[in-house]
Amino acid sequence: MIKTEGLRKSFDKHTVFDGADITVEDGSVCGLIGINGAGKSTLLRILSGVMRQDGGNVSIDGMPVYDNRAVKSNVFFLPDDPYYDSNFNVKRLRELYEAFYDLDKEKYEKYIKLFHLPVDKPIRNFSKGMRRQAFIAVAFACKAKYIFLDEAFDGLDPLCRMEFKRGIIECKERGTTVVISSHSLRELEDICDSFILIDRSTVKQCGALVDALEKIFKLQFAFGDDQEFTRERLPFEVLRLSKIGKVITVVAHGNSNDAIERIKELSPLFVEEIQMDFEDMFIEEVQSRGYLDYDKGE
Amino acid sequence: MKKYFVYELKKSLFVMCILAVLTAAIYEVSILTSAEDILEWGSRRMPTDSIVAIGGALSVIIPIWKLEYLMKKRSVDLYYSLPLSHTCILAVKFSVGLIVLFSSFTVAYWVGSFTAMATFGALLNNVNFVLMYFAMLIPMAVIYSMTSFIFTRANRFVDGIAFVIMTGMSLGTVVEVISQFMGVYRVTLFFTPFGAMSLISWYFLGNFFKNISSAVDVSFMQWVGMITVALLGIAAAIGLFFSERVAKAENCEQLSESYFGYKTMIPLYTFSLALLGTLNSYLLTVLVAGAAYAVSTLYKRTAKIGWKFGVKVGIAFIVGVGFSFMI
Repeated sequence: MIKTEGLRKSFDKHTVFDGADITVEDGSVCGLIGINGAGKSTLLRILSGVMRQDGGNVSIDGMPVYDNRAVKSNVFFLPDDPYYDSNFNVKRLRELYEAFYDLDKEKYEKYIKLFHLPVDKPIRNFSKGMRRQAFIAVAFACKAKYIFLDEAFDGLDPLCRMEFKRGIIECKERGTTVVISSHSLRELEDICDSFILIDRSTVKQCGALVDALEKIFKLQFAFGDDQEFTRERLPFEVLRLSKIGKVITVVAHGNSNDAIERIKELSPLFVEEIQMDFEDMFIEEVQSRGYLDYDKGE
Repeated sequence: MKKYFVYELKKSLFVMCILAVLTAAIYEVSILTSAEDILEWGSRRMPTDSIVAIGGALSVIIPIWKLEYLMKKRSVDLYYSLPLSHTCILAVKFSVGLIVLFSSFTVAYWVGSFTAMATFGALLNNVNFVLMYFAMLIPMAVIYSMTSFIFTRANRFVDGIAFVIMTGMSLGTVVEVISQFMGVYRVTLFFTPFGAMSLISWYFLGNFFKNISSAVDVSFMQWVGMITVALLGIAAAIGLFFSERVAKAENCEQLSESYFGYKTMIPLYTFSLALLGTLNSYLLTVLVAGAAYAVSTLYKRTAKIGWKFGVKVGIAFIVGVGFSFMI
């Protein structure tokens, strides 16, 4: 299990985490989401022992991570821009990781073939997506119990994304815990069973994805009268309200059925629930805090 | 760790071979082109300068090559996340670098020495090649260790190179300034790692172990210089590993704020060179001021070097020029 308690991390005067508590259960696939600069990559670097936290506890299987060989032998970290020597080809890349991990050579070769990666060509001459494919092959073959992937889908074509997601699900079935940071929330929704939302130096939400999606809803409705509609007229607290013509859209936390009943009491022309996905949820959560909100900006 | 050591060694074999062949060729050429001098003067003209230069250059280039992984965010991400402690990774890189250094130097040294022995025979009877070989490994290890420590004080590759260049001559520069004040015999060279190395090769060339009276050739101050440099080498190795334990990955590619680098070296050189330059020509005084500003912009990575640091360098410059009039 991955656990952080009161995690604090700053870069000079910029605070990235100020008391973040995170729990990721074993065998889960966890999506790490947040706006640009929220601290996703920093969190993954702390979890993989690249960086040391300034305060709080960071543990994997109950042991501290930083500079702990026992823990790190179970961890594989794939950064957004992974390092390779200029003369590396896929064979030499494998040799590097073989020096540290009990690499499954057959699985590695399988993915190299699956992605049609040239064996003798230097990795420096690969496209961005091809480089990522080579490192994904390492990630799946290294038998690590914890895999941390930063900007996981970056540069991958749709077919590779599919194979990548299939690979992650296979990892999960073997009991591997995968933490993936990405802005491709629709892709994450396909594979993640939990998520961590980082915003403004802390963890805003953390837990099961299904539960979180059940706790937020989006409704559309309209009233016949022409008077100005304000959020105060609604009998529940809304995260976000927008109005186009007479059609009002609200996003709120809670039970959607209760909210529909309460709106019906106000005699609307119509009221309906709109299905929300992970991306909608993310957008609503961060926009409700004022991020890139043009209305509020004005 | 053993697996990684073997991997790192295998990975370095190719470079080791290239360096060995290249340096052996350079030494060989330098011996053969000195044939006339050797035939005329014997061991007194044995061209040790080239092997000293080769050993010195290798001792600087190899640690930079091996430790540059600490200067890039991407490689820090890789090496710090791998299942080995940061110190273990450094220890492997450091020791493999030392093996590459000694191996390539050994090939160059003995290829050259055997050629010299075969070509000039009895003329070089008083050269103790074996002792000279072992004696040169020591200053090379010292330079290697000092370069490793100084280079890794920087957060960026370019800064690391600048730190190595600046600190390599810093002790010698200070000694030169003191020498000017005291009006004593110039011993500056022996307070630089390369000078100490050169001195050792020259020392053993003179058949010291066959004729103990050669010992008088090395003055007290030269001994002090060599011992100081050797102690600095040991301290550097200890410092290298100690500092790696507390190193922060996030500092990588940031401004290099170590006191072993720009922060201290720019004011030190500004003071010393303003003093020494003004003694010779006012044109040099102006050049020193320009150079101080140029290096400061390299440090701050902007033309605006900041008033605090600017004042510090300015004071060093004025004091340096002022002191020159006292000599």
